[in-house]
Amino acid sequence: MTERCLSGAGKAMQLWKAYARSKSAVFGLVFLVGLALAAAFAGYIFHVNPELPDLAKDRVPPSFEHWFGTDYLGRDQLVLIVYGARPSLIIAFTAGALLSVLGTLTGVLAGYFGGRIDGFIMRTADVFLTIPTLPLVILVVALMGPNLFNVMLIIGLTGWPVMARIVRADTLSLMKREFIEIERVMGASIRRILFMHLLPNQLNSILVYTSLSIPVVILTEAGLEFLGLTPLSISWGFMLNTSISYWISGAWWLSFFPGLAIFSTALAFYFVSDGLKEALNPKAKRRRESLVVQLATRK
Amino acid sequence: MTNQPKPLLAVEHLSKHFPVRRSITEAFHHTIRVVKAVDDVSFRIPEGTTFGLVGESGCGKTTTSKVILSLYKPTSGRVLFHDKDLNTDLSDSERKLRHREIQAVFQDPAASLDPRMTVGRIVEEPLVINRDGNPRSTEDVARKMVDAVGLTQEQFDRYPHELSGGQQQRVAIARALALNPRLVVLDEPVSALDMSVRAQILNLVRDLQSKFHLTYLFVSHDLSVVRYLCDEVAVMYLGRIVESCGTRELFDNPLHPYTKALLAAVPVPDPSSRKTREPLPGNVPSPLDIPSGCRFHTRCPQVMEICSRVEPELVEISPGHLVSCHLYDSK
Amino acid sequence: MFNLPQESETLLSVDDLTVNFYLESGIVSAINHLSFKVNKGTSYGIVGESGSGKTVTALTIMGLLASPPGRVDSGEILLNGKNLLSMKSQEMREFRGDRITMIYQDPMTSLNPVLRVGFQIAEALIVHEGLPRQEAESKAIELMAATGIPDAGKRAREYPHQFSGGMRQRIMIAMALATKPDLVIADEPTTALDVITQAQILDLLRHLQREYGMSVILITHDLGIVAELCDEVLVMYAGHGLEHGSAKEIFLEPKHPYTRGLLESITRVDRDVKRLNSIPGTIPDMINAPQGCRFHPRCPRVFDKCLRQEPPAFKVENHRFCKCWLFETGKPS
Repeated sequence: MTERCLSGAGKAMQLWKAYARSKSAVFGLVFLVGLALAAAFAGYIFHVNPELPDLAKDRVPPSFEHWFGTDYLGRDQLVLIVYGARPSLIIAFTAGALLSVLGTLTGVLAGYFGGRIDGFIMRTADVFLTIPTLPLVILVVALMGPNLFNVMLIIGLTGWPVMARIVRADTLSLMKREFIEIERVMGASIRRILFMHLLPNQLNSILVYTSLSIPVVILTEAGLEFLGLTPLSISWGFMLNTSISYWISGAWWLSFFPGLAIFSTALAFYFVSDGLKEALNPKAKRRRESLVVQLATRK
Repeated sequence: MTNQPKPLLAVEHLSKHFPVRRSITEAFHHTIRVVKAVDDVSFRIPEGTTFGLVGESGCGKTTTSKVILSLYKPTSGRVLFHDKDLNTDLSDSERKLRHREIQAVFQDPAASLDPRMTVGRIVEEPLVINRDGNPRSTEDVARKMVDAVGLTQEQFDRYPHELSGGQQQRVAIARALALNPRLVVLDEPVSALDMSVRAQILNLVRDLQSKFHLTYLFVSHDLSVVRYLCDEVAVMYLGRIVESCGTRELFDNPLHPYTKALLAAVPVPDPSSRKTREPLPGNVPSPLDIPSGCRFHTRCPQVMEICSRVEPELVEISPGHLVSCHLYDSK
Repeated sequence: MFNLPQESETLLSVDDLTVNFYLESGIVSAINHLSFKVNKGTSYGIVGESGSGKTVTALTIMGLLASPPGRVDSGEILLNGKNLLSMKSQEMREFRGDRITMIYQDPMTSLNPVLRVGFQIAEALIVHEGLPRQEAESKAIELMAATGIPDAGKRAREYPHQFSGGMRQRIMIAMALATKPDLVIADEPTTALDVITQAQILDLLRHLQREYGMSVILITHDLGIVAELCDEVLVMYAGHGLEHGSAKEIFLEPKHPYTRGLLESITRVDRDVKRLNSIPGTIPDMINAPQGCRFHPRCPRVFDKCLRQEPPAFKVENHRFCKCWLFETGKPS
């Protein structure tokens, strides 16, 4: 019954059980996995070249033949959306992970060490905050050519400061709690304190902010697509951006479906991270109650 | 004081100063302001005894205990443990040894425990950090400690938030004792607990002392607990020790005016002994602006002319009883 | 102590008060059939640990109970005959801060950091007595001086952060006394203060009470403070008023096993204690409170009636009462 008796597989099972308690969390996960699989195997699902224009079918509204309608080049939007999931998901994951990891590490180091290190990290973060993403991308692309990898790198590199701030603030408030001091008294190494005590207690903030930054990442990538800075021509962001000029013609489905795709994906990411948060929270059984009631129930 | 066995812990002329960030005007005038949290403090703790460090907030007792725990480095002075200076460059193995031998229990039990760890994991943590055996043996030791502090094996797998304050403090104590330390620093260990639970924890602390041959440094503002637990007491004010002696002597025959004022100020649970005297007026001065001469002279009811000029030394007035006050200057 | 020779009039009467909190996780029984009376001009102490219901009692009297999830399920609170619980919120607002005021525990957070201190004291006078600002502020300065703040005229223009903890508590006291209330509720007023500052504040409260003649309900967990300051004492535990008596009676002749246990378990400055007698167990969870007498799992004198039924308050010697089956006949069995 004790935790330590469980092997790795046992622990994973326990985590899954806790995770699966939330229907929305499971739904989110299913959605993302489904989307990823569909995107990966799009070629087998659809036997059409997504990029092939068919001007005869210019802007056909959603119908039985074309569930999501067609775009201004006559391409089926459903196919485009599924193919477009690829770059969106890849970028969302990698750039999101990059900014999350960078932001978390710098934030916790700044919070733990304080003093000069804190000052240095935070001023660097400030500098990054002032760098406008798009001009930077243009610069990099001009110097090194359009490249998906570069794009991901840049989005990750410019997105970390906000996460760093959040993690730093959380770290500072955790440091005030005595258990961190006791760890030092017991001889814990800095690495242990950071990774086994400070960061695990901040999973809430980290997960929440990461999931909130996913749609931002997708949309940033959209802007880059629009400027032709990436080697891709199909992505949700791109579809969304080009659709704006067609509003006047009343072709609402050009914006609606890519927008819906971004929205659903962001929501799915949010559900997943929320589910993870709940599953990893040892206090999951108890709800938060007001202060007065806490006084009434126990100290 | 001669021919005494070497004390377990000896603090010699310890000072800890914290620089205060300067405002621009101060930087211009090249003034560096310093908070003298601890200023020339010396005392010794014999093995197997409980030494109390008493005072109001800002007196430096907690800072002193943190220097002893190596959380701060002294600005000057020495801390000798087993007669070895804790702060000269220690080899890795010596540093590890220090961690094993000096542990702590702090005031707020909920804040001293990692909310994401079970009780068992928390108590095992010091053993794991210090690589003290394999997972099976560390679990054994942890279970034994959990038992020794009066918790059940069922609680071994619980999380801190599922326990009451008193139970959480027991976990903190079990953790502190897991490595079999020689010295345990107890900083206000029962102040955050309910009254009906305090006695349990105080008795536990006492019992564990004899069971495990522990030496305690007890830091508190609560004189009644000090009276119950401590063998010797040192009273601190604004970073200095003003009086130090055996516990009974302090309560029976306090010499320093501050000690007397402290004792007079504590409300006693006995309606027939209501206070007749006025309490000491004023506030503790800011540690940034320590009064000249005797630090207490601004509030002392028995202040004399010399007190504002000359800081009194800590002098042994009678065997084992030290006071820092001009009232007792030998003529 | 200001002892009126004739009968002391009842100022506040709490009668059969029950307050529950309705939460998702269950119903918290915070106060259970509580009854007590506070006489005019006396200092009434409510002693209890966490979960005893003492703070909820204070909030209920003040009309500050968070109304969902809290609810008064029975009882009345009469102040000079008026039932506070049946007042409309407008009426209660006029009462609160005027006839009944409160001093809170933490002076650091109880004052508005962006308003000058003099103004915060004057506010009560402006709102409740309709005084013009100038007059209110000069009265505030008088009050500050009365609570022992030196240089009051100058300091009234300062902000809370410029004062020490003890000074801020004096400001809170000045605020509480501005409207010359009938009743002041002090909830752990010295818990956050140092020993000597605490003594100063307690001394101040004692003097002011004599001078102004108001009644004070002092809520605390510290038995020393109760003995020091209070004329009468109510001992609360887990939402129940277990025992009541004068301060002398409670300390010299405690009836309830809980009170006895408590007195035997506290450390003392004034005498050597060989060994503390601790009360075993912990304070119960208020959602799943024990059946029968709430103290029974920890009581050294428990017997089977205690497990089955909650004892009512039994009369013991004139005006004292004790909620314990041992006193069913009015005398200990």
